[in-house]
Amino acid sequence: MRAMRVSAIIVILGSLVVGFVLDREPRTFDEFAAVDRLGVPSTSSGTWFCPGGSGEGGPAVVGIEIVNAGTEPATAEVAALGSTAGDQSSTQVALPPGERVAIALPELAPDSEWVGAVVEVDSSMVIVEQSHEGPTGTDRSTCATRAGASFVVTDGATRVLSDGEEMTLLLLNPFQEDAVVDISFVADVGPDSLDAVVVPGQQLVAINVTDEVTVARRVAASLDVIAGRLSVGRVQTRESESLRGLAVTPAVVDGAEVSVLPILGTGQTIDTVTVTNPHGTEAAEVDLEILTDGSVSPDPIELTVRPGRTVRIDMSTEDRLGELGAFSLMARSLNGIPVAVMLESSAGLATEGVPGTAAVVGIDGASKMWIAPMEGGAGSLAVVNPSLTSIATVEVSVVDGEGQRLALSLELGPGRRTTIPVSEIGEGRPIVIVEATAPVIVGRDLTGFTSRQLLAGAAVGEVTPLSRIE
Amino acid sequence: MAATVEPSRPDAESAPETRAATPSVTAVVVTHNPGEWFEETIDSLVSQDYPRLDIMVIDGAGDTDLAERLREVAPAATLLDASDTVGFAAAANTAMETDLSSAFLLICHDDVALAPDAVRTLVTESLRSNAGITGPKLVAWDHPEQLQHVGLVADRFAVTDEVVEPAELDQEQYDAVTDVFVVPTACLLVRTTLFRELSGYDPVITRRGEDVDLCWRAQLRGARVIVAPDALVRHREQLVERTGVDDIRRTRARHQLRTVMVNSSNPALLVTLPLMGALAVGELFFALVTLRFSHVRDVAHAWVWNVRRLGETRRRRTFVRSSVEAADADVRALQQLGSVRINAFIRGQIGRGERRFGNELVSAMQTGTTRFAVLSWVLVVLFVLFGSRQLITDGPAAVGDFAAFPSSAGELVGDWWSGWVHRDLGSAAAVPTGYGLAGIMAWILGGSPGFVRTWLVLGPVFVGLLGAWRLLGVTGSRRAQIGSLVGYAALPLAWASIAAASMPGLIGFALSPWLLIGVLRIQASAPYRIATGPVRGAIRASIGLGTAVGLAVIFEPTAGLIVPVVFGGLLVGSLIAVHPAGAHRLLGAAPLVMLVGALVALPQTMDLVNSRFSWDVFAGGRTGAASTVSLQALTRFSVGPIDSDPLVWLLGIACLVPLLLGRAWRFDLGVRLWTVALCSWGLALVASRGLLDFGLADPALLIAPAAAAVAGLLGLAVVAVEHDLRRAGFGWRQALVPIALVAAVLGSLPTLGLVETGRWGLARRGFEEAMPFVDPGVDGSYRVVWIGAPEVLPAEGRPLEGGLAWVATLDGLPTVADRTVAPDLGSAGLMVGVLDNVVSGSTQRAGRLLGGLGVRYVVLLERLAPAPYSSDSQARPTPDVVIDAFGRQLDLRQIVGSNSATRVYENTEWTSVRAAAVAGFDQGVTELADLGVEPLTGTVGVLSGIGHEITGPIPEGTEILVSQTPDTNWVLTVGDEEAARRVANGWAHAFVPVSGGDAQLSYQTPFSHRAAIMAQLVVLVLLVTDRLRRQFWGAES
Repeated sequence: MRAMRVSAIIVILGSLVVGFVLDREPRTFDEFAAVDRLGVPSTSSGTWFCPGGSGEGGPAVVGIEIVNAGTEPATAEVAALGSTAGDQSSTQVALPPGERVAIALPELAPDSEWVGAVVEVDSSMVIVEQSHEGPTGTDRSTCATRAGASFVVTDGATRVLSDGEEMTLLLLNPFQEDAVVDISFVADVGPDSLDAVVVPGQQLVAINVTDEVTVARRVAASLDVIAGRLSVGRVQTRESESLRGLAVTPAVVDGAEVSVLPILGTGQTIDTVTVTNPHGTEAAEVDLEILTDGSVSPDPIELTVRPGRTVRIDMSTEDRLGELGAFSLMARSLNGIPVAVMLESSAGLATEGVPGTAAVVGIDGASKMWIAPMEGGAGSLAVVNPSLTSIATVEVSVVDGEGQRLALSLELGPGRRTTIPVSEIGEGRPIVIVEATAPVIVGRDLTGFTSRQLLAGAAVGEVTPLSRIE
Repeated sequence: MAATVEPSRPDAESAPETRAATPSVTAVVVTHNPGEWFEETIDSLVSQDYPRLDIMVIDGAGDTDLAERLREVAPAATLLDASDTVGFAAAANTAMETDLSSAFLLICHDDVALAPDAVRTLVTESLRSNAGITGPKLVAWDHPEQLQHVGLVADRFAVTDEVVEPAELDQEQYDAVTDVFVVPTACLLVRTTLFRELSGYDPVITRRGEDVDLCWRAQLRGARVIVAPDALVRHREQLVERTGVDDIRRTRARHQLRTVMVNSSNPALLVTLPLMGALAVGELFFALVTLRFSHVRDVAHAWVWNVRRLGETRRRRTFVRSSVEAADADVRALQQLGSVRINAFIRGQIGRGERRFGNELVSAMQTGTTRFAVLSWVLVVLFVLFGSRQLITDGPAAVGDFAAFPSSAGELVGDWWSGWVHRDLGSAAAVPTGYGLAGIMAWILGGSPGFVRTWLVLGPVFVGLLGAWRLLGVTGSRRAQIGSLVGYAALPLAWASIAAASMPGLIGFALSPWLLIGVLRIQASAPYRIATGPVRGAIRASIGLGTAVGLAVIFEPTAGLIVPVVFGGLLVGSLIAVHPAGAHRLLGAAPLVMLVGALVALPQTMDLVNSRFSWDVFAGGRTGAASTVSLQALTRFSVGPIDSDPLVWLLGIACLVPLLLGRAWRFDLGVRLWTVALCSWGLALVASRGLLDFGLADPALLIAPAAAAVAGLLGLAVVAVEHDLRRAGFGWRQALVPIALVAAVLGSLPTLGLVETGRWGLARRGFEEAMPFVDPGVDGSYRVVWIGAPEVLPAEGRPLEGGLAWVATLDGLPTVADRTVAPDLGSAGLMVGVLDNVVSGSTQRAGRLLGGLGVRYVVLLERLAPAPYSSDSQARPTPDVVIDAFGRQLDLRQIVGSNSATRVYENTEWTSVRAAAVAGFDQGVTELADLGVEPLTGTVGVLSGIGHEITGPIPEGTEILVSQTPDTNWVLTVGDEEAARRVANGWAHAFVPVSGGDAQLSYQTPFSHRAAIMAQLVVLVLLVTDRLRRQFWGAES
C-alpha cells in the first residue's frame, strides 16, 4: 500500500511539476504575417494612388498613363479627386493588351487647382504612372500602391524670388473618412511645423511649402498622419537663369533600412543624394555602397545622420567616382534605423546634356519581375542585383499588341548592376518586362530630346524587402 | 474469487481426544474495511478456548491491506475475497462456496470481540437445547456493562424490537437461555447443515433485515433460535459511520416487506400485506404532513422495489414454503402480537427513548450532520444569490455568450422550430433545443425573457452545485458532501465563467460533477457499486450519463468535449491506482453514452452528421493556435476577466489528503479524481500552448472536470479523515488535518471577495446602446461582421487566423438563436475568403465584396463589453495588421466616435441582404470576386426584418436578390404565385417575380427537421421521466 501510495503521489505531483516546467517555455503565437510596408509600387494590389499635380494652367499639369503590359485586355476605373470639395468624378477605361492609355485628370476635376487620382485595375500586369508638364519642364513618376501614415520628403527648396524655387506637398486622401496630419519641416533657415492639417476624405490638399518655410535652400519635411492614411507627393519647380526644371516625386513612406538608387553618374548632370533620418532620437549610421558593373568596387561613403536631420551629398564632388560611369547606390543603415533616400539629378541650362531636373526616391524592394514602360531617345534601363551571394539571370522582353517577345538576356553577378540602352531593347516607346531568376531592382532613365526623368519600374508579384536579401 | 486455504489453528490440537469429542466450528468473519479494532476481533477468536475452531475472513470491500493485517494476528486464517458482492448477506453466503466440513458456523461481523469462552458456551448450549441458531449476549464495545442485544423480538411485519432497553446495564437479568425470534447477525452460531438447507442469507437483502429473514426461515424449518447469555460478545455497531451509507429507513422498510412476502403463509400474507399497505399509507400521509419528503420517498421505494422483484420473490417464496416443517401457528406464536412500530411510536410519543420510531419523524434536523448539511446549503445558496443580486435584479448584460433573446419569446420558438439560422450567411441548421425550450418557458411566463435569461445563467450554477453534493453521496458521509459542495462553490470557475459571459464554462460547471458520478457508476468500483450488478448497472448509468450529456449539449454543443476527458482521466487513474477493475466497462459504455447523448440532441446530431462532422462546432472560434492562458491560470481556474488570487492553490493541500491519509477505496478514488483533474488541465494546457492542429472550445469548459474533481477531492478528504485518520498512529497525519483545514479556508477566501460587485464581475451593459447601427427598416436588412478574439465576440465565432474569430449577424446584435456555430458552413466560406483577402492586403475594395454578402458594418471588437463597463486590462487588442488592413479599404468608412472597445466601419458600397434590382443587375458577375471591379449598383432594400416569413412590397419589374446561403426551401411568393429563381452574383439566389406588389419570403421547414425535434422531445421525456422515477422510487446504489 505504501509503495502504491508513494508511486501515485509521485506520478500526480510529478505531472503537475512537469506541466509547470514545460509551460515556462515561451509560446509561439499565431500571428498575422506582417505585410511589408514597402515604397516600391507593386501590381499585386490592383489599386493605384496618384498624388497628382496641378490642374490646367498650373505649375505641373497632371495626366495619368495606364500601361497594360499583359497580353489580355484589362479594365481600369479612374477616380479623380480634386482639391475642391465635391470636385470628383470617375471614368472607366478599357486597356488593350500591350497598350498605354493616357487620361488628362484636370478634365475629370475641372474646378480644382490640384487633382489626384485613384486608379483600380483588374489585372496584375497593369501599372499606372503620372506625368506632369509645366512652364519649367516635364516629369514622370510611378503612382503608389499603398497609402501610408508616415512620410519623409528629404529635400526641397523655396527660394522663389532668387532662384524661382517653389515646393508643394500634395496630400491625397483616397479614403472615406477625413485624415489628419502633422507636418514638420527642417530647413536651413530653421524648423517649422503645421499641426493637425485636415485632409477631407476623397479629396486632395496641397501644402504650399514655399509660403510656410520661406527662402530655404534646403527643406526636408516629415509627415505624421495621426488619423487615416494618405498618399503624398512633392512638386518642386526651379526657374533661374542657370537651372530650370520640374521634379515630381512620391514622398518616402516610413523609410527603409536598405534602399537603392539605380541610376547615377550618367555624365553632364549633378547628382545630389539626400539621406534623411526620420527617427526622433537615434542617429543613423549609413553606408552608401557603390554598385558598378563589376570593373571596380569603390569604398562606400560613410555617413552619420543625426535624428531628424538630412545629409546631402553632391556626388560630383566625389572625384574617385568620376571614372566609373553609370553606377548605382545602395544606402544601408548599419544600425537598423530606417532612412529616406532621394536622388535629384540636375543639368544646368549651360551644360551639354538635356537641361532640367529629375528626381527619384530610393527603391526599398526587389522582385523577380518588373514592368518598365520606356520612352524613346537616349533613355536606358538599369538592372541591379542587390544580392551579395546569388547570380541573377535576367531576361528583358517587350510587350505590344502582338504579344511579348524576348529582347535580350544577361547575367548579373552578386552586387552588380548593368545599364541597357533603350535602343537595344526596342524601338519607339517599348513596354519592357524584366524577369530574373533572383530578385532584382529596375530603374529607368527616360532621357528624351528635351527632358529627362528618373523613376523606378513597377514590381510584379512578390516583392522582397532589400533588408532581407543577403 | 480467490481463496487462500491454510491449515487451521495448530494450538488447539494439544488434546486430540478432546477434538474427537467436540464438533468443529468455523468462524466466518465478514469484513468491510474494518478499523483498528479488527485485530482485536480476530485475536478474540484466536484466543478462544474452544479446541476445534477455524477462522475464515471474508473481505466484502476489497480492502487491500486486509491480508497483511490478518497474517499478523491469525496467520492460519483463511481469507476469501468477496468484493464483487454487495452487502453482508451475499458476502457471508460465499462461505458456502468453500469446502466446509465443520458442524457449526460462527457468523460474525468484523466489529465484535468474543469472550474467550464464548464459542464453547454457544456450542454447548446449542447442543444442549438442540438449537439451530444460537446467539450470544451482545454488549457495547466500550461499555461492556451496557447491554446491547439479547436477541430480538419481531412482529408479523418483520419489524424487530429490542428485548433490552437502550443502555440498559447488565445485571444478569437476562442471563437465562431464552427462545427469541431473531438473533442479530453481529454474532450467531448456526448449524452448518441448517445454513446450507436455508441457502444461507437472502442475498438480495444487502443490509438490515437479513437476520430476521434467516431466523424466520430457520424456525419455519423447525429449528430453535435461542440466546445463550453466558456467551458474551462486545459489539461496536457503527454500520452507518463505517460504510458511509445512511439508508437505514429505506433498506429496513423494503427488506421488511420482502421478508414478509417470502416467509408468511398464504393466509397470513392475505392479512399482513394489506395491513402493511395501510400502515405505509399512514406513514406516507404523516411524512407528507410533516414535509419529510425523503421519508415519503423511502416508504414508496420499499413497495416499488419489491413490486419490481415480484418474479424473483415468488420463486424464493416457493423455495421457502416448499421446505416448511413447522406449523405456521407455532412460528406465529413466537412473533410479537400487534405492531412493533405502532407500539414504538406510541412509546416514543410519550417520551421514552430517543431512538424510537416516533421520534424519527422529528429527529432529522436534530442530528448534527443533517443540521450542518442544511446550514451549508443555506449558506451556499445565500452566497450565490447575494453574489448574483444585481444579475437577478437587472439581468445579465447581453455580452459574450449571454446574447439577448429576440424581441419576443415566440420569435425564439419560431427560430428553433424553423430549422434555419440567420447567422453568418445563413444555413439550414437547428437552433439548440435548450434555447427553444427557454423560449417556451419565457412564453409561458408571459413573454418576458428576462427571468429566463437570468436563470439560464444561474441555473447551471445550481445544477453544478447539486451535482457536487451528490458526487460523494454514495459514501453516506454528509460531511463529505458538504466538503464537495462548499469546495465547488469556493472554486472561481463558475464565477469566472459568468464574468467572461462564457456559456461553455457554465455548462461545463453544471455537467462535470454529474459526469463524474455517471462514469464512476459505470466503472462500478468502490464505493460506486451498484446492487443490480455491474453490467446492468453500467448500462443504466450509461443511459443516465448520456441523458445528462445530451441535456448539456442542447444548450452548449461543445459540452460533449469533456466527456472523453473524464473517461480518460478515470481510466488512467485506475491504472495508476493499480485497480483497473471496471476499466473495460468504461470502454464498453462510451458508445452507449454517445448514442444516448446523440439521441437527446437529435437535431444537432443530424446537422453534425450532414456536415460530415464539422469541427467548427467544437472549436469555439479557435484554430488551435497558442493563447495566453497559462497552466498557472488554469490551475487557479482563472480563465476570464477574474484573475483569481494564488491563494486558490492552497485548496490543493486539502486535495492531497485523500492521497496521504486515504486507505482502500478512499485512496483509489482520490487517485482517480486527481487524474481526472490532471487530464482536464493537461488538455486545456495543450490547447492553450497551440500543440493541437485544431481548435478546442473555451478553456473554461475544458477545466470544468478539474473543478469537479477538486471538489470531489475536498469531500473525499473529509471521508479520509473520518475513516482513516483514527486508524493511523499519532504523527504527521494528525498535523495534516488542521493544515488542510486552514489551507481550504484560505483557498476559499479569494472567491468570497467576488461577491462584491453583485454580478461576479460581469459587465453592467452590453453593446446594444453603443453601436451606431441604422434601423434596418430604413434601408433594408444588413449584416454585421464581428471580428475579435473568441472570448470577446458576442456569439461563438468561426476561426480566422491570428487568434481571431468572426461571426456575422443579421440586422445588428446577435440573439441567442445566433449564439452557437451551425455545423453547416453554408456559404460562409465566401466571407472567410474576403476577410483573408483583406488581412493579406490582396484587396482594398473589401466594401464591394462584403457588400455582395449584404454586409453593412464591420466591427473590430476588442473587449467583451463597451466602455466604461469594461476596462483596458480586459482588452484583447486587435492586431495592428488587421486594423491596418481594414484602414486601407477604400470603401469602408470608420465611424468616428464609436465606443473605444470597438472599431466600427460602415461599408459605403453595401447592398441590402434582400434587395430589389433591375433585371440582369449582376451581368458579368460569375463569382463574388468580380464585384471588386463590377460593384452592385442601383439596388433598393426590400423585405427587411428577421424571421422565416418576411412580408413587404416589392417594386414592379425587378428581381429580388437574397444574399444568403442559397436554399430551395426559401420561397418568394407574390400574390399566390411563386417566383422563379436564379443564381445571382455567382453564389446567392435572385427571385424573378412576374409582378410587383405584396410579397412574402418564407422558409419551408423540411419535414426531417421537425420530425427530429419531435423525436428528440419524446426521447427527452422518456429518459427524464425514467430518471426521475428511479431517482425517487428506485435508486439502487
